[in-house]
Amino acid sequence: MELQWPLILFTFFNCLAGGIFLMQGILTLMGLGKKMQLASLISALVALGIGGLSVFMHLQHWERMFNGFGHITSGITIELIFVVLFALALVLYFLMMRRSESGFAPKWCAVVAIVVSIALPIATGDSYLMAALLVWNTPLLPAYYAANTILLGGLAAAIIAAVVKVDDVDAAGKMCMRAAFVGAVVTGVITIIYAVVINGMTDMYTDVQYYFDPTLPDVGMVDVASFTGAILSGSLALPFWLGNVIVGCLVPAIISGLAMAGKLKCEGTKLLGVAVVALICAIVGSFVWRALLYVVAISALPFY
Amino acid sequence: MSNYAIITDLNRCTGCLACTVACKAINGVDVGNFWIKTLRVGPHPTEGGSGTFPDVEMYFLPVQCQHCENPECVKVCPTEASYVAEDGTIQINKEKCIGCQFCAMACPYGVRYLNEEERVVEKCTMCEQRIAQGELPQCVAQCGARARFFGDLDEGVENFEAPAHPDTPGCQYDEMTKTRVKLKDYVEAYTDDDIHHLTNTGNDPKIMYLLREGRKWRE
Repeated sequence: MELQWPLILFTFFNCLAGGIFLMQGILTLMGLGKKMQLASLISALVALGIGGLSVFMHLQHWERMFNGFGHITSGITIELIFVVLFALALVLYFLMMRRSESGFAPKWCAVVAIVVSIALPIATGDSYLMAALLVWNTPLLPAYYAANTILLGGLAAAIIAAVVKVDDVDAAGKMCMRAAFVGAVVTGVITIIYAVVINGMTDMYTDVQYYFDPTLPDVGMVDVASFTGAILSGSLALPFWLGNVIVGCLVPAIISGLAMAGKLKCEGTKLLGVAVVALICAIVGSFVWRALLYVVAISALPFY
Repeated sequence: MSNYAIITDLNRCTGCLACTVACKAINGVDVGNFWIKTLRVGPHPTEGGSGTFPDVEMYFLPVQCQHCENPECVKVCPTEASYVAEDGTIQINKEKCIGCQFCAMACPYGVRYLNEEERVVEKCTMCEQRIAQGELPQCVAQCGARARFFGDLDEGVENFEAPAHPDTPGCQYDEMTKTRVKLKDYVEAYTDDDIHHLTNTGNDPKIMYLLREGRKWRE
């Protein structure tokens, strides 16, 4: 399938928005990062908005978007509902934070933030599960989005903490880096398992051995193995291993691992610099993996 | 309520592409797009043969929207633009379509595409404008080998119909199109095991293919 950049951007920004709010929820539960709450809420809202604008670019008739609530059980509608719930949770958190005498949103608000932030990427991934597209139709897809959310959120929250100079920057920064480390490791493990699973899918496609499409006389037969085997060890192995695994997961894991172990100072501009480098790497990996999933997505009957 | 479908006798289909062309002509399908394509499957060596010509077999496979019993395209459509019509066919309400193309992604057969001009998804309608008036889908009416038959599954596939054979002396086009033959009366004998469907990923395709002994159905 051709790359659908609006959808790639949409899922990325959904994960980023979810990750930022998730980390704020975790920090609030731990009594950390009071000063960064508003910045986190605004950042998450902006990310959600950019994702929403991106998906508009995908719709051919965006002026009919309110028809999108017409079929309540469709994946897209469920995804849309979770986006709305996420936005409502942001507003709720903001209101409760402003009402609170301590300046912190209440703990239950933090729990709500964590729940909606993890639910959003899972709902996003779930909407792409289609029996026709075998490489997407696996629980590994929503699991990836959830792990990616933790990775992006941990690093983005670390940047926010450094930029707004929270009072407890050392502890908050370490917590963010701890989450980023977990996210990076899990994202890396999931994508490698995912690549192995895709590699084993060749026999699941319709195979008529030899065929010819007279409407495309100069186009060769679809070689399913060249798609399913591309990521792990084929033509897409370089972007997968270099772009996704090494740059996208390993480097952020090393950086965040060193930071949370105290080998890298998690203070002020140092935290900012370290987190920015790690986030850029994570973003590269996030886009590479999403793009790879489009490139290898072919229908169960792949030769129409 | 009906449950319309089409069956193609692949032992009869000659791969003339008349269905493909007739469909494009009557439905105004844009250049480069198809609502039905005819693929050649094979040639493959026949089982127990020498492995080379003439011990080979092949068949032509017209692939279109399979008007499934459990259509994934309908399940994923966020606006109910894709829906199951009362006659059992899968249709698209273009006024509701937002062009998200998830239906095209969810179709296992790749038979949906984006109409770039109207910016909505299109596919085979089983010529609903014709069958609503008691006519045959154009791909059935124009089949050069009289291999395609259309009918109501609730009345049994053996009662599916095609236009009568045109070699009656003096038979005019209008008369011919009004005269029908039934599958059971026209094609060579077959059993239920000879009726095949495209790959089923849980969507239960309704379009059928008849392929008898001597040729191996491949999937």
